[in-house]
Amino acid sequence: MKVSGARYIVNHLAEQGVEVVFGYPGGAIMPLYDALIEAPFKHVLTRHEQGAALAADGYARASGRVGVCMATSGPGATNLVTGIANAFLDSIPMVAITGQVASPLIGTDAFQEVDVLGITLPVVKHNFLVTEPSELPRVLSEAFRLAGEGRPGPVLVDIAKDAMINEFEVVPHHLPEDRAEIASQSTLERARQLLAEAKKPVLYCGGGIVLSESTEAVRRFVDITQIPTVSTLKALGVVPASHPMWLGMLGMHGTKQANFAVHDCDLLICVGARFDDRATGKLAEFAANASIIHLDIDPAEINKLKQTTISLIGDLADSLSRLQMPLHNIDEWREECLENKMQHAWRYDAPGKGIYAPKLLNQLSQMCDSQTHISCDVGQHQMWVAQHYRFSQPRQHLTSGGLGTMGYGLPAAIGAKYANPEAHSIVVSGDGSIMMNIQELATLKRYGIPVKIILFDNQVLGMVRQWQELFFAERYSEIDLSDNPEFTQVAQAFGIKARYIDRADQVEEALEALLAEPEAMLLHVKIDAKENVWPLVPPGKANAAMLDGKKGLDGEKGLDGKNGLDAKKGLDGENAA
Amino acid sequence: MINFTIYIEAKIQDAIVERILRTVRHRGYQLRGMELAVHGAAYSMTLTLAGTRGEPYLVKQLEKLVDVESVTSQSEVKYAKTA
Repeated sequence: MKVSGARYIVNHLAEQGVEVVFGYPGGAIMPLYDALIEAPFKHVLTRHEQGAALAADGYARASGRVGVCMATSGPGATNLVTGIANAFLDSIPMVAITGQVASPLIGTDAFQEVDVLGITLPVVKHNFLVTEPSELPRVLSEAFRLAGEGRPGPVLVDIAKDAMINEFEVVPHHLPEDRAEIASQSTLERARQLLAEAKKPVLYCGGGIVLSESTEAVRRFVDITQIPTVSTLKALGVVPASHPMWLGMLGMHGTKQANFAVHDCDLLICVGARFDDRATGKLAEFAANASIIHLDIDPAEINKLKQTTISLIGDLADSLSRLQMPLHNIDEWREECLENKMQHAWRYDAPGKGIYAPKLLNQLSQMCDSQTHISCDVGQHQMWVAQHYRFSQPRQHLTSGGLGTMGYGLPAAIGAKYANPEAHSIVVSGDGSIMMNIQELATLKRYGIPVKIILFDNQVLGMVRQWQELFFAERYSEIDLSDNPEFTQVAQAFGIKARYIDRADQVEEALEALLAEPEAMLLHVKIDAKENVWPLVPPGKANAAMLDGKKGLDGEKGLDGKNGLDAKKGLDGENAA
Repeated sequence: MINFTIYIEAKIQDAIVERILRTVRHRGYQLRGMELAVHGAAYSMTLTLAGTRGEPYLVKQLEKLVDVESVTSQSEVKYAKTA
């Protein structure tokens, strides 16, 4: 039986189990949008193609399934690129479909023609250009397989308009069976020996655990070994924040206890992480005296930045289950780590009547259940979420870790709501970030998506301001946002309920009302513009040299040459608004 | 700077030569020489390269490219493609 290319694409997406696609129509992709009218799955019209790609990303992170987005040729496709790059940097499974001008026009600088295949080469796991409809069964099958298998990532399929219009005889394409890779027994025995001999081991959890659905294996490993555990931004929730062995996030804005543990350990077991510079600080001093066991599915990550002692390439859950053993000789080390954890516990006793964002986020986490998705934008609020929201499950925390995409939060929250309609989907944003994709408020209204938005407004690009204060001698450049629009009125103009608070005594009731609201709602929260994120590892410094806003650790002088970077404001609330 | 030569077998598919050369550039290597031949449905490429990061780092990145079938070093070390 013959079908058009466009009809085949719709049928194929349905066969892949696609529930929802996020997109925006235009000239070259019109045949596919025509076929979508009869599609058995939902299409969500975002108000910008970047919103579509980021919503597909949020859907994929929240569900574990492949996210799908689509756009037309030219500007439609280029608007997807940031979202595709975002998925690439965080290894998120995504299939992006773009319309392309008809094949005879490719290469003629036709209207809305750009070389999307070429533009996206650096930010995709793979991409295809389809000019014949008969290529679609193979290409789409491979696109979905590639997006999800091994180390996931985005795959772009650029389809010429005539390949959507023309009919073809469908010949199904059958992919070969996947073969799961497992680490060799001899390598594993060496790793077990290292672990058994370690006196100060630390488990370093990365986002690969979430991507490979290895959370339960990690939790078993931690329970059996009782090993002190740290986490990257992307692995928050893998080990619940309430677990006694969990020391918190490591890295630039990590906890002191996590960074001290990694600095002092004699064995670092890295699981599905990639020694990212935000996690390691000065690489040469990161776990400098430790042997390293690196578990990953991607061989290219092994020895990429840090030389490992033993690498276990393959399925993480399999490797961990074969590596785990009770550790009887690390009691002293555990006590040291737990004492540090107690000593450096967060404090929320901020004085003053103003709203202290870390405290609000901690309150929020106590009010939400373990299914709630929290999506963030990028900046100070993102780090406060990572530090102060106590995640207990993977896929709760949606954040742009690798690319650091301002504007990620709102579209990602939309995607998360489609992935898990029964759960709360809450955006935590800043007044800089929210403006990057604020048009998606219209998507909330159109589809009645009850996403909740907590907008921290300090009328400044806070993280840039913090760095200019600390590392650019307080020379403030282009950070002022004091002419922000009135955000509650903006939300209301989109038909979204909104409320403004600026006093600490309003927070609890406002959060309760926000969570109880059946529709989408924006809570506009005024915070102090001078609040900083602490601790902070200065650029180029070792993680153990982190600063806490009052004075350098271990007697280290602050960068201002005095005793500390900022004696005016501290995380523990000194002079908080 | 480390100089080395690698041999690549790759399927003739969309943009495979661009993918390889882009990876070489982005990962910090200089192209000092290149030969390309078609053998049936595959390209055979010989790349002479220089870089400070050494050969294994680049080889692993090239092996990740979907249409690359094998990467072999001048010293006849055959890198098994694992992903």
